[in-house]
Amino acid sequence: MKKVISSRILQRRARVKTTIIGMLCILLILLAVFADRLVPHDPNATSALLIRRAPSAEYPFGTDSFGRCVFSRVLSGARTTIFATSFLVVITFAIGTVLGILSGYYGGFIDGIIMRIAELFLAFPQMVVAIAVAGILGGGLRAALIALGVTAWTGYAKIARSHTLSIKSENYIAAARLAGKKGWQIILFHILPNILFPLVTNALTQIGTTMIGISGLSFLGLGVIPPQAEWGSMINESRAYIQLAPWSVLFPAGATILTIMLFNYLGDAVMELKAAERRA
Amino acid sequence: MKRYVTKRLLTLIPLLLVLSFFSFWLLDMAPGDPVEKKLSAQGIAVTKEIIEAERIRMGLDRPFLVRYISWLGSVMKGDLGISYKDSLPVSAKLMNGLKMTCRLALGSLLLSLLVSIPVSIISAVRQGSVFDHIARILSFISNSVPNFLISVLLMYFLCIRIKLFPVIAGDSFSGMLLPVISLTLPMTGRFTRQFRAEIIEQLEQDYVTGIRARGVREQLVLFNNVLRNSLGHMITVIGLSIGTLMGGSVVIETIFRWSGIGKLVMDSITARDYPVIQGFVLLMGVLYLLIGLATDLIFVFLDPRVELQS
Repeated sequence: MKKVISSRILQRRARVKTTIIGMLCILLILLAVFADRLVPHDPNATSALLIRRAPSAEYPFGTDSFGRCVFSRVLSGARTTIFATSFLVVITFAIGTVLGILSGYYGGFIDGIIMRIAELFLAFPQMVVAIAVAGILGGGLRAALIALGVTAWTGYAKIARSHTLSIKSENYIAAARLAGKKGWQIILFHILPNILFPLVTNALTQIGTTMIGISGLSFLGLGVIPPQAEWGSMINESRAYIQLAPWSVLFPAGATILTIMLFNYLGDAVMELKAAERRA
Repeated sequence: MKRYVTKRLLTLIPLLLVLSFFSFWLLDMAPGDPVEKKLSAQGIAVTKEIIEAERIRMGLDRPFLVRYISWLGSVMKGDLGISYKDSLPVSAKLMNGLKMTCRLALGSLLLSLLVSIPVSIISAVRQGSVFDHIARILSFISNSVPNFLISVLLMYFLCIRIKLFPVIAGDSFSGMLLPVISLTLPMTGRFTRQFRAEIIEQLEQDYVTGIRARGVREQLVLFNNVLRNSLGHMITVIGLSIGTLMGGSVVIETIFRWSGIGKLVMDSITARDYPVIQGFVLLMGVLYLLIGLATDLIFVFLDPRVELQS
């Protein structure tokens, strides 16, 4: 009896935690979506009179060595980072899931080909390939995203395949097939909803990794092209004069850490919630 | 065992071929004319005649596949071409860098393991204790902070604010400490989290209950059974982290001016010294494949059941 109650409490606690973190994440995404309207100054406007000003009421995060408002640039950088990350996570999620389900559901030749390709992409160190491709193609956010994306889809494909395999022989799939449903209908309405959870969890953990990748490439000068605001490239630009204007490094650094932590924590909370629900 | 090793070695061949093809193709993909790129990287004024002569000398008048095969032939002999910038052999430049990078990377890997293994064991055994909570929070934080940020922040607070360390990494202990810490922290966080989860999973297995019921001492259960069974998984985690370590050392070496292979490749990207970038991809790819092979073999050696499944 006691155990039932305690696991119920655990479950409720996990649910509250997930909701709070989820809301904070949504708030962050909203900030990124409306960054254009929220910025107090033009994030790219330079001014010779305002070089490296300390934080003030007018410029809450100070200004950088071009006299640009760091607060506006951090907000605008949130937009770059969060948009690029969501774009990459959604695309790799979709491609990986479709290929994984096809592979698991149809098996045989299709399975062989898709899984060989996945193994091929997994065989190479992601960041090394990303640095080389971006370095030779001349950088830019698009090259960086392609470089990070070519390996990211394989995780979803593997998860989708193994879960499809494990539910393929369930009665409800056989029933759907006997009822004359077509292959794509079974995949879309019967398989996908039942294997969605582990895929979403993987996507949530990928958000942090992707952000680290994008900001790392931008930090090396291989991601976004200046003057577009992005946290990694802001930190790289400003670290040369960190003694004179530490705020121009510390604020984007704080934003990066906070954002990655928040999304990583969301992933942890969702997994914890699932574990608590299973126990209850 | 022998059959598994042979099979695993055979799968390596197509992967190596794809890797070499990709590295070769990368140079072809680079925007602009390769002859002009080479000559302008050397600071030579280009005329039509010079370009034509150089094109034939570099063998660029031949078709792509012919060039690939002859390139592959010289790669097999350890010849990765000549650097555009200073006409030194690429392989020598890469090897010099690799030596420095290995010191940094192996040092960090070792330090990570020294911290994460004991911490994850204590954390898993005393699940829910104060130690476990602190270890989980710290590993969560260090797993969430990109390594370039750790190094920039360490540099700011320790080198500039307190002036404890030199800003440029030297070969001394204090010069090596910051780059090693920057590489170590995220890796330690990741290792601790994954090792802890694996040990906990093993501890919850039925066989542990069985051994405990027979009255075997808890420490013996832990070291003889649980840790032994977690070892294979741990080695896979370590093997997979090598790729991240390779990427990470590029960033860290650039920041701390550590003259390893990562700084070499970033300098080559700036100088458009394409043969060095190409050699870097090839070398790192081969190393990564070999490390993957080694971890797989160790895994099977530790747990022969895997061989039967595959």
